[in-house]
Amino acid sequence: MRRLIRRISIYLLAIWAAVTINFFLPRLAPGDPAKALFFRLSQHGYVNPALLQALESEFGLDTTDPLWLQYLKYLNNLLHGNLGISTSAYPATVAQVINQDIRWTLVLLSISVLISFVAGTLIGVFMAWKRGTALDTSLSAIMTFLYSILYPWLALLVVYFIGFKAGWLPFSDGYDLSLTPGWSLDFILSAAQHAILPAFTIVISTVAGWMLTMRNSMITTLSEDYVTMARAKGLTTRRVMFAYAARNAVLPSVTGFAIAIGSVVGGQLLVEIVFSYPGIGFALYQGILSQDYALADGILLLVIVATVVMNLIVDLLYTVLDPRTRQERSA
Amino acid sequence: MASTSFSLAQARGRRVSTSILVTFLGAVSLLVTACGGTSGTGNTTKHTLTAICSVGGSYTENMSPFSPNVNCGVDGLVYENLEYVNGINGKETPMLGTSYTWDSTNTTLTFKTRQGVKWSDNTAFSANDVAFTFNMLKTYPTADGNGLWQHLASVAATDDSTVVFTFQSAFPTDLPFIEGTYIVPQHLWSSIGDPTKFVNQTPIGTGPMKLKNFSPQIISYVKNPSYWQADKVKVDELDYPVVSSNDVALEKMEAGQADWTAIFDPAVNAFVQKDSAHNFSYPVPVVPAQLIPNLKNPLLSQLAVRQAISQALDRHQMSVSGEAGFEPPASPTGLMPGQEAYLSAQYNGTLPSFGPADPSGAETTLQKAGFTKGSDGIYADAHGNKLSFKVTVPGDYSDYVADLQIAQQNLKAAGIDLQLNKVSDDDFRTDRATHNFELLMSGGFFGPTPYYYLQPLLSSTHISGANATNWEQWSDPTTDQLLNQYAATSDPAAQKQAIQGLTDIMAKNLPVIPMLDAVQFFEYTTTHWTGWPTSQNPYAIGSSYQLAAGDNEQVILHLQPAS
Repeated sequence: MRRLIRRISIYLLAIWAAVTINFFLPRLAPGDPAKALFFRLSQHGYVNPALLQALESEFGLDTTDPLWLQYLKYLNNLLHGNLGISTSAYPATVAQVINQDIRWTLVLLSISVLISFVAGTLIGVFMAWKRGTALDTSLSAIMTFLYSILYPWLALLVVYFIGFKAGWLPFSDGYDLSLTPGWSLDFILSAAQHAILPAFTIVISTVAGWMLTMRNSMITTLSEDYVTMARAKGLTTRRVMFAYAARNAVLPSVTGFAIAIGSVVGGQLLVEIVFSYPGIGFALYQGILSQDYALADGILLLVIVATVVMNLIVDLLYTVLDPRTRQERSA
Repeated sequence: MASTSFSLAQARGRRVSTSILVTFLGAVSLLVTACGGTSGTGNTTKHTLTAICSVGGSYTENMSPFSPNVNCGVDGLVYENLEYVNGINGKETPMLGTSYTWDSTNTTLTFKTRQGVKWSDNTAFSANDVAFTFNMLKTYPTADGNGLWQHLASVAATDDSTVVFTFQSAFPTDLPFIEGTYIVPQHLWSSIGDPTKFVNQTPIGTGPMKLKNFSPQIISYVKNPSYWQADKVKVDELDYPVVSSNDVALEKMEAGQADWTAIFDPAVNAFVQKDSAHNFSYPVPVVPAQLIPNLKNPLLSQLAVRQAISQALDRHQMSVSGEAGFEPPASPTGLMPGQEAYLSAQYNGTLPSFGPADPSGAETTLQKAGFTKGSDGIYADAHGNKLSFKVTVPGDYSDYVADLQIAQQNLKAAGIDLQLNKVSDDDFRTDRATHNFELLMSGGFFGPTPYYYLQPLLSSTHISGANATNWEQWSDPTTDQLLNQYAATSDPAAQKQAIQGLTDIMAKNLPVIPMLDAVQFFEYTTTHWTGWPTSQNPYAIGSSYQLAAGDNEQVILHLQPAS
């Protein structure tokens, strides 16, 4: 319990540090955000100074508060889940913009990352078990090849041959745009069908990483004395492979998995552009292009929080996977 | 702001930018979309028009015409304005207003409004709705994007079909802004609060279309059966799908999945060539793209230096290789094709053009003004000040950068050194408005007459302040007097005379150096729809984006299903 509290407080500290940097970084950068906003609006014609004042106060740019007070207000807003107003989608709030796009990203990416992790890790376990065989050598070569393919190239090949030439699956948009989004069966099937190709490319391009990590870690573990001991005791192959070797070898992969899942909320810009797929990556990209700092900040903050939370979960998972970590000394 | 029909906006305001990343990814998406999508418009008796009005991420719901980020289709198609003014030739078409008159002092404007018009919820429209809309802008100055209430004293409906605008003093140049303001229903809008923040989920307007469905990926409209010219509308459904890049947009057009768009991309030429019987591009010049000199610079303030720069430029090459042929060389008068009526008699109704690049002529001009060529090939004045300038340009306007690289070579041949200073869009706009540059490449504002281009650019009242648009700091009593002459009268002949004087100043004194005619892009296919605006019949600016919202309504009224 004491350990848990300590871990949580360390993670809270990490979030606070990230939030603080998030607050100060744009303010340290040269340029006047209020002026920039004003001239951006005047691009479309005369701007009524009244609009400028109203926007400035909404975006918190008109303030004469000292920096420390602005900082406290910012923290207070965050605690209330208020990420501010998006300048590029005004009057929509940052939360509304994120909410609109993130579901596509979450569903597509969490499923493909999970599939990739489970498949890659399992293959890694078997390959390490059969190390040195023809299967291991050939799979290793194939996986190393997949690992080094540039994602856009792979995605384009898939789009061109499977989507366009063969016409087996749709390769653009998140769903058939003539349907109305909702909980109808037609829509869900259409969305699932449109997700297959993007998900496939993500899995193909990331599965090798998991597999290679797991295989190497597993080979080290297999030479440990406790594995030899388990075999000597006459335990079944399955039990030795999973309960003794894999359970210990998987620890580094689990950490990697936490980071991968955490960064899922940042979206996959390349996937979204190649497949014209809705998602948060494009929103972040647009936010940066249109200098919508509130939106970009909001998405980055989400990535940070997600990563930290996933790390916390993994930490807890560690205590289940590895009894040693339950003892204070290893913390 | 988005609240006028032809919007006095800068031509480069909402262009689809071609940033480095997009360019890099462009190659990626080109291949992707060469394949066409699977979702398409069905081939039923229902006639669907598919338009692409912006390239980017998901939509957010903004259905108020007074929102700075209003969605496509709201202005012009759902809400209408009093008159449509054609930005090419200034021709007026009555919409919700049927006629208007100025009193003899130009302080009172009386509009007659159309009778028998209904809102799409079947409530009757009247002059009271017009008066309400303008008084709402008084209550909420944030929505008064054109600052009308700086000049207006009152707006009142005197009966069901008459609305009277009273100005504090004569202000006839506000007319296009009044004509262009989108009229909203009093019975629904009287209690919504600030119209710039109103999401307006079920927009009720008088226009040809009404909202069918909003989703972040697609906005759909259907024909409004109670529209007052419903018999002219052949479009049963209008869809605006989200598109992630220029290439996807063009491929959707080629595959027959979209009919109408407005993008700047060199690939437009290939799109037209692939099926020249059905695919068309008709970019409309609206305002010069110009080299803005900082007239407070001791060298650039000399006319001879500006003349030499102008003489040395190869505008033809910029048009052909910098702009892929879309933007023609500019006229020294700053006028656009279609505005020939404003030319003074000496031109015989033909827009004058700049001569071909003339580096030796430029050198002669400089030598006559007392400049001498240094050993490095660059001219300098008697005090040794070299003709070496930095030109500020947004780094992600790849066409402007290409134009200026050509200018760099041209000027070098004439003994003038030019360095490119590429900055972010934000820095560009800030530097421009605060006069923090030596030279700068920029478009300008535009409207139904050349006045709306010349006034922000040349009036000494626009040099400083929050809305500084006289970027070069041109300050000239004759110019101001001509601008005032135009603004004080509603007599077209007197206005024309003032413009002629101003364009003579443009051509003779080069307060700015026009380079190319910046255009509103417009691409369409005749696969499903015919009746688009053409150079033979320029009834509207064709561009599908929000800037040309009042024009969009005219296009909808002219489209016919292809047989």
